[in-house]
Amino acid sequence: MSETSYYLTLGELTQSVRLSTETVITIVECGIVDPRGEQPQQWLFEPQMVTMVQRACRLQRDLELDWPAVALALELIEDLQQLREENQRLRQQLGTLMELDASN
Amino acid sequence: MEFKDYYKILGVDPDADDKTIKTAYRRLARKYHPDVSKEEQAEEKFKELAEAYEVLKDTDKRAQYDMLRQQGGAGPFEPPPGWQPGGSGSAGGDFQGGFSDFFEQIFGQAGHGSRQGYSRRHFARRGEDVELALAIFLEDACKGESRTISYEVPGFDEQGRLVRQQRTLKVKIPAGVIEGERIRLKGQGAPGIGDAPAGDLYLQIRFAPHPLYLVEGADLTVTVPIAPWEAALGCKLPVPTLEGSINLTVPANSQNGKRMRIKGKGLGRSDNRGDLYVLLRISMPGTAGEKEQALWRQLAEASNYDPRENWGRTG
Repeated sequence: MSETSYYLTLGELTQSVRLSTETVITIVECGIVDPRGEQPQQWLFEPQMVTMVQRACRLQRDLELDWPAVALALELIEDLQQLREENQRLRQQLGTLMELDASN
Repeated sequence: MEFKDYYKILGVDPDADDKTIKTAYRRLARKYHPDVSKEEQAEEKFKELAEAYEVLKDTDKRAQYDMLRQQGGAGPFEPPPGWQPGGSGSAGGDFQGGFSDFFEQIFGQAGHGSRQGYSRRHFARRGEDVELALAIFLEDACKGESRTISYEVPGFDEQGRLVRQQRTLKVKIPAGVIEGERIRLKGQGAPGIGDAPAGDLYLQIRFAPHPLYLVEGADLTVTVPIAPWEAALGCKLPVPTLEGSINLTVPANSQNGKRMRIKGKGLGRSDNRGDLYVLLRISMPGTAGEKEQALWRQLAEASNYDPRENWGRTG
């Protein structure tokens, strides 16, 4: 049986995404991800944050953005995603409330 | 191999200056970047754009490309005899696949793709992370099931050639996972090169659609049909939860669409479990027999309820 390990350290994250420590620190300072722990040596990243960091790097590089702009873009993308999901859920809920009436 | 017209891809003239090329790239990149775009085939389009820009923004690469373009132009492309791919093929994007064969024919493969040239004794590189989507049933998410998964990782054979390796792994899915959560299996990704460690395996949890429950984070919603008289008089309603049925007390005079919360019967970990919401849907009987008709009529005469009393009034 394979053990799951939850958090990544700063070292593990930089290796995983192939970024320098400085870049990851900048990303954290911009609030793109918010690891547990106060000092970089104590930081613990959730697995979801790996994806966020990778996404941030792609946007920064491909769209030639600065980091605060990346942070803003990611926040808006996240909000949009949540609204889309909520919209879909509400539609589904509405569907379950209406379905019998529609079939009568 | 088709000759790729990088100018056409960026929508600029062949004599466009650097600024025009940059502007064109930025505008199109914003439109087609796979992280922000909802356009069809955004990823393919973006890869083309990135490749075109990689060449045209670089004076040397652009000069090499222009030379080939003038010689060959459109249609099938073969590098001229004696053409030496330049070693400056950097970047390459980290979307699947990197740049096209056309690009690599002209500029070489440095920076992405083949690692055949590397001596494994002198070169160390951590293995790639591998990500898989894992579809599970809601019931299993709650209990924490073991699953055997098979997947492929890129690896190297004894000659150092890139091969796909088949892996099988038994994984214990932690109880209380929620949709979209990523499970990390350290060191179960692609093997490292040289002495470097292996990458990690990530399993992204996806719930198979459930016939009863809608999922919102750790909360579940189930819609239960009830008869008009159950809504009027109140009732004990059997409600299915992930751990068996429970009886919910529906108060008298419940409205259609009323939402009731059963605390801690959702998903998530025991110290922080979500709730189960029960949505009541008043369902009218399809046809009424004579006796029922008579009772409805009796009710209509006895009641002075006007559902449209405040209907259509603003404020």
